[in-house]
Amino acid sequence: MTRRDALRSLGNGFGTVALADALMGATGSNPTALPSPHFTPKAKRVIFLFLNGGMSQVDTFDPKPMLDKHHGEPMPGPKIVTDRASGNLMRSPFQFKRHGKSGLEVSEIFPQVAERIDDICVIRSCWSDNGNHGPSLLMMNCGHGLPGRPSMGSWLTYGLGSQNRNLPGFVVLCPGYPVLGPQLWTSAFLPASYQGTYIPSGEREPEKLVRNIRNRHHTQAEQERQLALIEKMNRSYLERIGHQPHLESSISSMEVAFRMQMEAPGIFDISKENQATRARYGDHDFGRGCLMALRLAERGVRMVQVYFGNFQPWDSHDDIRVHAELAGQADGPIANLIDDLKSRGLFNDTLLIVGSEFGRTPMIQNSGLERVCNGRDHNVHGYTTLLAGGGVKGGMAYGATDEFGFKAEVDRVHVNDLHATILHLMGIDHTRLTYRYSGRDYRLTDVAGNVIKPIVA
Amino acid sequence: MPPEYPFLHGVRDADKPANARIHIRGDEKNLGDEAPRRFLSVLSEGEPKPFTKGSGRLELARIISGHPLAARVMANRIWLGHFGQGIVRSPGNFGQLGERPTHPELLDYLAARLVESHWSLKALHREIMLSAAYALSTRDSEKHSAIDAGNRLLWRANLNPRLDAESLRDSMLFVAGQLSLDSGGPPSPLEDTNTRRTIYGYVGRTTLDPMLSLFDFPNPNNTSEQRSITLGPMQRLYFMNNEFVARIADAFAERIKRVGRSDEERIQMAYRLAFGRTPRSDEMRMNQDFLRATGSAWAQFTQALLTSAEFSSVN
Repeated sequence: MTRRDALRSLGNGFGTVALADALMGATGSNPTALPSPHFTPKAKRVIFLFLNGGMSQVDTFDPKPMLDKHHGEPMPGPKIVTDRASGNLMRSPFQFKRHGKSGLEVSEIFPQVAERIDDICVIRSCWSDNGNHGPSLLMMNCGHGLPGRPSMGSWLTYGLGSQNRNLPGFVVLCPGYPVLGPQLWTSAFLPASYQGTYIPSGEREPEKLVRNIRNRHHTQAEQERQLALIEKMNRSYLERIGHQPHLESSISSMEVAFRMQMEAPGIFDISKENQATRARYGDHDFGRGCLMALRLAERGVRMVQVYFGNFQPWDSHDDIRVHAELAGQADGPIANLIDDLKSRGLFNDTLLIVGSEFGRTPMIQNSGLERVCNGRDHNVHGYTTLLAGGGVKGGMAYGATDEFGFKAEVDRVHVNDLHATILHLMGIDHTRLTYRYSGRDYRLTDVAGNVIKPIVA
Repeated sequence: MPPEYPFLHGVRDADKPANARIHIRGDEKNLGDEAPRRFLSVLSEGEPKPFTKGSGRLELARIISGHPLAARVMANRIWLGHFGQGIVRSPGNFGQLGERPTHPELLDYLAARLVESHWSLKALHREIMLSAAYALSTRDSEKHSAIDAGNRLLWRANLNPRLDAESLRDSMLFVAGQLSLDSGGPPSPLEDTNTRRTIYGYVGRTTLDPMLSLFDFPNPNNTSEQRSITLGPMQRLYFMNNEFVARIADAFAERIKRVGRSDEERIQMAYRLAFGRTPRSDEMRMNQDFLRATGSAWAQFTQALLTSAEFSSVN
């Protein structure tokens, strides 16, 4: 039964597409009940590590010797508009070195990621539309600069369902909120069950991580007895009203809920990992988030998004040297996540994305408002995103910015193209995953997007 | 000045209203042609005339309320609320890409009645609810199912698989004997101690109340012409473990314990309150057995009623 058939046969009032998913999910662990992808997927799940605030490309993965040469000089050529006033070119305070068989250059602030560069595809030619955090965060997450569109995780779970019915299909981890908060994982006009489940990853107690997961009043034995009564009540109701598929589905979700109650707290509880593993990820929010993402991926959660931290930590307007400290926290968890995905046999079908809403200018920021004048402004004209794992070629740089690292010039990759590629790797034709709302068919990639074929393994 | 004083947002015409320019692809920096203030050309005979009085808001309102489409759309939405599906099953789209009405004459009749009654919504609700179609049972019939499985022709009532968030919360407060029917006033957060009807709950645009969000309250940043209904395990966990539900189950138990004189009477009362019917004899026995086995755990029994599928669905 295809999704379309299921929808047609529904027609019994009350309910839109969500019901179809719930119906198909009623068969529980039967994987054939999941909506099927358009073609054989290279990746089954996505982990998106979001370095919110804007990681500078010329200080991390896009080295520009011309910046050293022309340090302190004005950027030649016609002026490109940036968010605030920009000054002269500024060289990176960090050294780059070649790594791995691929010889790709990585900045010294990412030493551990550098050692795994042969597993990573570095897209150096990303660009977006609007140089402000809000619109660019929306673009990167929802494919459009204005609010009101479903997020990528919502589209993925809408299109593919969840592999694990005991857990939400799309999980978002952040100790607090990034800028814009829940708008970044909204299901917008898609049914609400596809919105990201937000987990405050700074919490240590499972009850605080997943709402309503523990009962504070009854013992397990009491609850089991109560559930047996509920089951009898439901059976008796069904006998009375006859065959009603969506009620049967609702009833089966009762059993899932009970299983979830037993399993979910342990999954979010990283103290279940041994001490050595936890130490490798580090005792900070991003490290814990990455370890939690690993455990969730392992159990079939379709998409996990980990925000680096609250608000916008990577927004180094004042002093780009702060990037060293930030990278110091990001480097280990990213590298360890790659290693552990590999050792647990998940790397080949997990798509790992590391990126920001935009990059930063190769020029010094010159707005006069900042304390220290070694900062860089927002830059949507050219920035870097890393992909690794599920179906992506490792040890490869794709596209290029101009000689100063300002504007993407070779093989330009718009966010719509990036999204089209991510969906493609997940087995979805981005032009065919649509939802009719407000009189037209919407999709993640709006009316654009081309799959970047050369990076697909 | 008091810390909180009542206020109402209002609008008034600008002194010099001006035409806006088209924002191409929604971008305020990418401006297209000026768009004269006038009615939609797609719904006008020939080229619509520009508005002349002030901003044109009043002229716009008059055209909308005089247009047959407005009455049809409104009548369709009222119908949808009662039947689960509109006569036009794309309530937000009566255009080329929308669905055709299943009963066009009925829709026009209802629209005309709405206008005749000076747009009295109450009168239209009453007329619909007194109809034979509204009184139909949900009972399935193989014969009819074979012809019209989707029930487009309304040979039976559509069974609602789950109440919407507001009705669910109100129903819980009601069975516990705690629902406050006070009307009006400012909204307040839906804390566990808030016993007012849920429509008076505060709706946050950035962070929606978790209960509302769990039961498919639409995203307040988007327009929504119809609720989607999802049925998932997270919702069952809510009934099983949430503190508000536990509180309601306790109050519900206290209520029936106080009023009923025997266990049998209490179970009967609980069924009438929660399901609007009396229990069958086998149901009576099953609940009596449960209470005996648990040493009269009434609150566990009432919570079971709240968690059951029957409580969440209308019948």
